[in-house]
Amino acid sequence: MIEAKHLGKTYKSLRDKKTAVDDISFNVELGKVTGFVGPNGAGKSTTMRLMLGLDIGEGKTNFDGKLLHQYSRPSKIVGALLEVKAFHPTRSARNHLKVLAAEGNIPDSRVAEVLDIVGLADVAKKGPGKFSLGMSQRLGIAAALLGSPKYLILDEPANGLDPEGIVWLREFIRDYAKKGNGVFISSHLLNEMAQMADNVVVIGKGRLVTTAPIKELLSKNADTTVFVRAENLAKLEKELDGAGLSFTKEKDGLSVVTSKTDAIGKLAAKAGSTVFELTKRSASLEEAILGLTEEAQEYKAKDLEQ
Amino acid sequence: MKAALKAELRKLLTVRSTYILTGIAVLIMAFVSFWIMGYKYSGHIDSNFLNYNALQAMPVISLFAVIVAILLMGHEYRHNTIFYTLTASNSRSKVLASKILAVLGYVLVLTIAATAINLLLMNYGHNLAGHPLPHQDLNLADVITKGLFYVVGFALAGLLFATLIRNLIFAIVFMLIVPNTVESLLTLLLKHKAVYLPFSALSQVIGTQGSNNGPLDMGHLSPGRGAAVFGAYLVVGWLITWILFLRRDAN
Repeated sequence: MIEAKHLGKTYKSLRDKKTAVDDISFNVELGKVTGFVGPNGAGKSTTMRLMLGLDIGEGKTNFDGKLLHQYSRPSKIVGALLEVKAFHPTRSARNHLKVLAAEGNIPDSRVAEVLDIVGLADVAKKGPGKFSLGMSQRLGIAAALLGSPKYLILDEPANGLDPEGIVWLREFIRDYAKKGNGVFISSHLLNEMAQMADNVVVIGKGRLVTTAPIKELLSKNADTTVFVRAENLAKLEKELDGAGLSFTKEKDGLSVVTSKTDAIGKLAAKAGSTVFELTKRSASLEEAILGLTEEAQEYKAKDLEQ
Repeated sequence: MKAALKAELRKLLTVRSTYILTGIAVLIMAFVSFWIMGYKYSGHIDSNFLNYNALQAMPVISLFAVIVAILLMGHEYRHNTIFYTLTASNSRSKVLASKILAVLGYVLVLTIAATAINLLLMNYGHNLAGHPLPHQDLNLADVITKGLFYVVGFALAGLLFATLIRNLIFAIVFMLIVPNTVESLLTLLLKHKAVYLPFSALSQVIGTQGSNNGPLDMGHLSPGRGAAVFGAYLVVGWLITWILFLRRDAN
């Protein structure tokens, strides 16, 4: 298990100081995918860099009870993807991985294997400077996999991948975790995260908002609703009030906070309201995360006024 | 440590820039030694001709060696590969030590090869022109020792600045400007004490600059003292750089 304990990072300049990560603690379990989400500027990348010892800050991260530098071959413990284009543009993809293999004391034969896994075997001799964003991501994932590590730490690995690539990544990551490894992954694609992750760590403005199994997070922080489009909405609203159900008005119907479509159907019948549409809307991770991090968004865009 | 050194050597040998810079260094060396100091040479020639001119070639070699050294570290920050390098190793000191060893290995091969080409082509140029060199008191051990110290010193200074500044372009510009331009300007101010400036002291090792009583009279040091002065700067510089490398964020 990865145990991140009291991670903190403050950037100091002559004029001011800014806390990027403030006392964050969480665990990444073996056999599970742990998602890492939060708004832009929340401190996700800095947290990952702190975990790997790249940034010098407060707290510590144990990998199975030991700090990463206490292992003789860290590449066997953790593989990381933090930057998409972290390669020399004219050094071939194969040579790039051979350099990394040498650093991790990994046999060169593994290079061909990981290139094959990520589907870059055909362009192994080419310089990655002209690779697309998706191909660069694949090369980064190959680099992370080189040491067949027990843990993967991936920062936005789905960025730039085509739909096929995203599906491949999702299945690959789930399989990797199923084999008993731990995966810690950040992504802005929350619907992808919902399909991929078992647990989720949510941060905002450098602080831990919550850490929980994804199902628990959804049930506690986002409502399942039933959308009803019908005649005589005013009468239906009265029935809903009478039944103690909360609802919001939408353009051509009502969104009722409940998961029971049958109950809404019966209330509509009681109100003498002909129902044209009755749709159950499941709570999404996006809604849950937006709700949790609403106050912790550092960079908010304004709505365009009509 | 062995793994880190292997990786650093691979980094050196798998980028085009190493071969291009080495090739240019060797070509310039070959042209100057064969054509200018050999075939077309018409100046005074004594028994020290090869010794003197072999050492005169060291600044040219060092110019290319220092760029290769800077690129070895500068590329890590420019292309963000430093995060792979540091996460794969369990010690930042091992990373830095292996970079120094890789630079030393490269400089050793380049300096010896370039000196051999230089000596052979000067001799061949004179022979081809029909005026063979008179008997030469060639002291190869002296040439190699002083030459290696000069080129290694220059390259390690470049690696130091690349590690400290972490900006490839700035480190290259710094190493091209400071040794010649800045120290020459400081000579106007410091007069003969300017010989104690780092690169002026280093130049005393191969005897390329010294007291000339002109406006840039920087004084004179023996090669041994020049090496000691430069060595002191280098050791202090590397101590500071090493500590910062261990304590700074890797970006």
